[in-house]
Formats: sequence, structure tokens, C-alpha cells
Amino acid sequence: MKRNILYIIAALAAAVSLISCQKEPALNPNSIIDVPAHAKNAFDKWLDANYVNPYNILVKYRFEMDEADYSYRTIPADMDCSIVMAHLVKYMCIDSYDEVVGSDFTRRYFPKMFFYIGEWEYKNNGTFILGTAEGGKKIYLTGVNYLPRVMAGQMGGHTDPAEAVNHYYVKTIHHEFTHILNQTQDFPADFSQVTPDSYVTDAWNTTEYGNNLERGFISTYAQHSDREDFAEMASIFITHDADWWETQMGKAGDAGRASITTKLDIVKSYFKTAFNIDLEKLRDTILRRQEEVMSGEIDLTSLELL
Amino acid sequence: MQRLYRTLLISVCALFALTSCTKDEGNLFDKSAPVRLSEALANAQKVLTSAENGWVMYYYPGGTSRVYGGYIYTMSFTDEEVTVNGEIIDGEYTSLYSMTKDDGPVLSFDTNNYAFHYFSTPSGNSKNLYGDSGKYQAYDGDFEFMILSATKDEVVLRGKRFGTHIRLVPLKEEAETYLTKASAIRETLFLSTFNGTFEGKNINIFLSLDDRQATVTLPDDKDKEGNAISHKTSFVFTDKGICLYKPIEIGGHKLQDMIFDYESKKMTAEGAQLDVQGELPEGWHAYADFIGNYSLVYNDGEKTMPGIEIKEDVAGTSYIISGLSAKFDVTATYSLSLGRIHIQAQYVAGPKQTGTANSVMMACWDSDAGKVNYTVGGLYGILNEDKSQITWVDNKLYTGYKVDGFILYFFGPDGTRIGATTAPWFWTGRESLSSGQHQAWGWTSFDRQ
Repeated sequence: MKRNILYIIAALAAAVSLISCQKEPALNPNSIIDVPAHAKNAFDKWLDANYVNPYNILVKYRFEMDEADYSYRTIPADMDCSIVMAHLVKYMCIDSYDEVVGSDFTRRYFPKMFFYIGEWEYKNNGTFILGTAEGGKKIYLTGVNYLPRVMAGQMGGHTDPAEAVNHYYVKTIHHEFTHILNQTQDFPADFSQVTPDSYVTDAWNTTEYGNNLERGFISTYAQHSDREDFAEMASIFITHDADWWETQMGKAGDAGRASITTKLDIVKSYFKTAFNIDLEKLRDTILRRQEEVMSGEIDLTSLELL
Repeated sequence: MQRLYRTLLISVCALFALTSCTKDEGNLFDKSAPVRLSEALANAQKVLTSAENGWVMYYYPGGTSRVYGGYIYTMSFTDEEVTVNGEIIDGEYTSLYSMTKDDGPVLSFDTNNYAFHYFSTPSGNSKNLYGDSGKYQAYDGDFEFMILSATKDEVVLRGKRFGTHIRLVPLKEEAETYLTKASAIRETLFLSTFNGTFEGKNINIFLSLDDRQATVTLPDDKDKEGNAISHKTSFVFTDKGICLYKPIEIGGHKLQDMIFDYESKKMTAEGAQLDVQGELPEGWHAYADFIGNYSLVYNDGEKTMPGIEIKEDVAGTSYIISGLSAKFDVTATYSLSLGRIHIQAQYVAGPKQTGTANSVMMACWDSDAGKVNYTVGGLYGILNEDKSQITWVDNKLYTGYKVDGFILYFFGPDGTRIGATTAPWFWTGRESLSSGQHQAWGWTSFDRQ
């Protein structure tokens, strides 16, 4: 009896396996994946020559909602502003790292994608987001349409164009790049222990914490968390000269200066040991390149292919 | 055991029955979805680039509630670029656009166009590039659209994020011409209430002009509760009149595009029997009706100052009033929506606070309270039916006081009041003024000469 049942089960299995539908028609030779392509304009070709081919970095200056953040209202970047921005980032950031550490470093670690949008990302508390980095891959650069206003020193009280460009964009890129480096090699825990109880998360922009220097932070935003503090320290240090730094230390008072200096030492040694970057040398290079841009020596609009 | 066999047997049969090999479902379409999508995009782009004069877009920000009403843009497309002009930002701007596939066929204005992205542009505490501030969610305006249909007569889109329907209609003339006509309509279509008939039915159309919302009521058609049936929707100002967001269906006829005629103050429709008459506010008169020679009657009717003339300044918009003083003229404006003349406090001589010398201001005042206003306060002039007399009434913009005349003061270069004017900065006919020669209270009327 058991055997009979086994037969039946076997028959059943056979039946199932035998039921096959008619032969599939031949596969369609045309792929169903059909990516609509724009004809490449002069800027696209310039990007190929200066970003894609040498570094495998994609610059998306045309809006794609999927690359943006649904939490915010925003608009596309202006094409002319994007052209200047791409030149700025190339000359002041990518080329600086190339010069100091070599292009292998830049190719390996520099984020592989830039996405530009025209406006800042405004929060309902009145502040706005300058830029974000995602997973060490993508830098999301906001407010690109304000570039002419920023470079004219007419944005939010930043009257010095170099300082303004740093504040709104370039510092942001270094800041985000620092995050990316931190994701590759975490920073030492000592850093978090310098001012361990002073991080205030989202309250960083309230008047209560306006005295950031005295509290041992190089910027108000550095008070957000240890991770942001580290990125602010590195990015502000390499985009400002020694005089500026000393002025800030003067304002910070003894306790503030001590905390910030301790942090800076940790940051410098992190860059040296983890990536063999001399932060002072990087700063000198960035400032020299910044000066070259601001003096008008560098053409920021040419799409000529060299 | 028998039962077990039977159960198994039935199962086997059932299995065969259930997996029976039917022929493949025939394809509903003869081409695959991706191929059709590509074709739809190619077709849409061909339609968009083929319109000789480009398109007018009826654009609705504000999401599905469309709280701001509709706005027009003119657009012309090449294979890669779109050139936009519109009623918010004056001037043509060119940017890139994309035809992509994400939620179906999508038209995306994917690099910034200053003329087009206004309603999508947010702002924070400080002013953005349009001068807006405090609008961190902007105006819920889309710039990526699903293409719902595209023919040479009409392209219908739906905003990807905020969901309003947006239509493009081909232009029959140059974009600039269309925009000029539309601008004239916005300036002259000032009436809110229209009454008349549509396809033989009584109809009432109420337009909320500032937020571009329309209410169409059929007084003779009642719902279950016995209330007149009413349709609410948004509209845009077109080159001829207005166009409703979506057509309203009344007795099998569609009402959407309406044509406004300024002379008759009527609205009609193309292809449908619409005849509605705009209701003028009480005492409304046309701009030209005010022009002429008058005497000012003041001191509550006791005194008269002859020799005053209202002349054309900017036609349809403003007037020059001469004769109030030998030294200066006064500017008045025409309020189209009220059909009245309007005089407000103003500088009548001197560099107006910016220079180094003194200025003369004609301030408005409440002579009973002895209070003056230097900015918005003033008088409206209402013309009577036979156009023989303009009666002056307070414009009610000087809150808490009742303006009844004007007073002349010297102002210093820093904007502070120095004191009453002296000769020769007096009103004409100053010898007949009551207390001081620099003031004229109790403005009653301008009587036509």
C-alpha cells in the first residue's frame, strides 16, 4: 500500500514535471532597456574631459528628482552657474589634492558623483543646508544658482568673495570629503573626548550657543556632534590662512583655544597617518589656488578641450 | 485507504486541470511597453518642437487645491532647449529640457529657467533670487511633468510632485503679441460678478481676481437640499479673457474659455452660447470721464477755488491736476476696479528727502482731529451720473482717522517735517482760505465748469 502511494506521488511529480507549456517564442533581439540619451553639449564634453575620463567622476547638473531629497522643495541648477561651479571644484579641490597627495589618492577617494541643485535646502527653522555627502560616493551641492552673488560678495554678509566661496561651497566640499575619508578610516576616539559634553545636535544655531569659539568649537555647526566637529575643523583649517586662524584663537580665550588646538593636532595627525597628507601643505596649496581663482587668472567659463 | 486513493486521484486530475496549458494571452498592444514609451516620448517631442509659434502653457502651482490660481507661460522648444517667457518674470529665458522615462513619459525642465521656476523656488529667512523670503516650501509648483497626451492641438501634462493638470495650447501668433494681449486683459478685467445666460440657462459667474478662483452658479438648477448648483474652480487670464482649469459641464455643453470685452463689460464664449454682463460697482466711471475743468468746493461747502483742471497723465492709469497752486501740480490715479479718481499724500516739489534742500509735501489730514498722514491716506473722488460733480470721500487708508482735506508742509532733507509752507508755496486762491494759507480742509467736491 505504501508503495502504491509512493507510485502515485511519483506519478504526480512526473505529471507536474511533464506539464510544460509550448515553446517560448524566440527572444526579442531588441533590449527593452532603452536609455534616452541627450546629445552631448559643449559642457558635457568638457565634463568628460575633466571629470569622467581622468577621475571617473560624474557631475549631474541636470535635475533628477531621484537624486534630490523629497523632504525639501528645490529647483534645478542654472547651466551657466554649473559651468563655473564645475571649474571651481576642479581647480580648487580636485587639483589641490592631486598636487599634494597625487592623483591616485584623488581617483581612489574623491567622491564619484556630484549632484547640483539651484537652491539651498531650507528647513522650517530658517536655516538651510549647504551640501551633503552620501555613503562616500556622492556630494550633493546646493545653492548653485547663488554662485554669481556669492562671488560678488553679496551673499549673507560674506563680503569677501574668497571667504564667501569657501563658506558656501568649497568648504562644504572639503567638509563632505572629510566625512568620506572618515567613512574609509574612522577618526581617533580621542577627538570626541576633547569637548565630550558640549555637543548640542540641532540646537547648534540657537543664540544660546553663539559663543562657539569660547566653547571650544571652530564654527557654530561644529557643536552639532563629534563627526561634524571633525569635518568642520579640517575643512575650515585648510580653507583659511594662519592669520585668520590666530584671530579666531584670540576670540576663543584660553580654554577655547586649548580645546580647538588639541582637536586640530588630532585632525592633523589623522590626515598624516591615515592618508599621508600634510594638512599645512594642503592648506597652502588650496589658498594659493584660491588666490589664483579670485584674481581672475583662471578662466572659469571656458569649455575648450585641451 | 480507498478514500486516500480517491483523494490523490482527484488531486492529480485537479492538478492537470489547473495547470492546463492555455495559449499565451494575446498582447493587448502590438509593441512592448518600453517601445511604446519611447514612441510616446518621440511623438511628444515632435509635437512640442513642431508648433510654429510655440505654445502657451496654463500653469497651476499650489498642488491639487490650486490656491494661487493659474498663470501663463509662453514656450518654444528646440531639440535640446526651451525658451520661456511669462507673466511673473518679464523676459525670455532659455534652458535645457529632458524627455525621460521614470513615471511613464516625462517632460522635465531640468536646468534652471528664471522665467519658469518661480513657483518652485523656495526661500529662507533672507531673500531668494526672486526677492521672496520665508517660503521654505515655495508655491508647490512642479517642473517635472507626466505627459498625459500630446497632439498638435493640445498637450496635457500632470505635475509629478504636486499633481495639477497643466495644458499647453499652440500659439496662433508670436509669443510676445500673446503676452501683451494677456497683460492688457489682466489690467482691464476688473469685474468680479457677471450675470446672464449660458446655453439658455441663467448663470452667475463670480471671479476672485487676486487668487484667480471662479465660482459658476446656476440659480435655477437646484441640488437635493434646494440650493443652487455651484461649481468652483481656478482660472488663468488668457489673451482674450479667462480659461477655467477644467471645463464645467452644463446641460451637455462645456464652459471653459471665456472672452472678455472691455467696452461692453461682457463675457462670451467661442463655440458656446454665453452671454454674461459684468456688474459695475456703484458710481463707476471710465478713466476719460474725469478729465475736464472744475472748481474745488471746500470748507464743507462754504468756499470755492476755481480754475482747476484734471488732465491725462498715463492714459487709463493716472492724472495731473493743475490749478490747486500756481507752484505745483498734483498727481492723482485712476482706480479701474472702483471707477474712481484717487488722490493720496505726495511730495509736490523739491528733492523728496533724498537731496539737500527742503521738499514740499501735500499731506492729507483729519481736520477735526488735527492729525496728518504722509503716506497712504487720501481721498477718492466719485463722479455723479451726469458727470457734473466729483464728490470727495475718505479712502479709509489712514486708519483711525477721517481724511477730509490736504495740508502743505516743508520737509527737511532728512525727511523730518519742518513746518507749514510759506509764500509762494500756497494753494491758489489762498486769500479765501480759512485759517492758514497752507491748508484746505473739508474737501466737498470738484464741480465741473
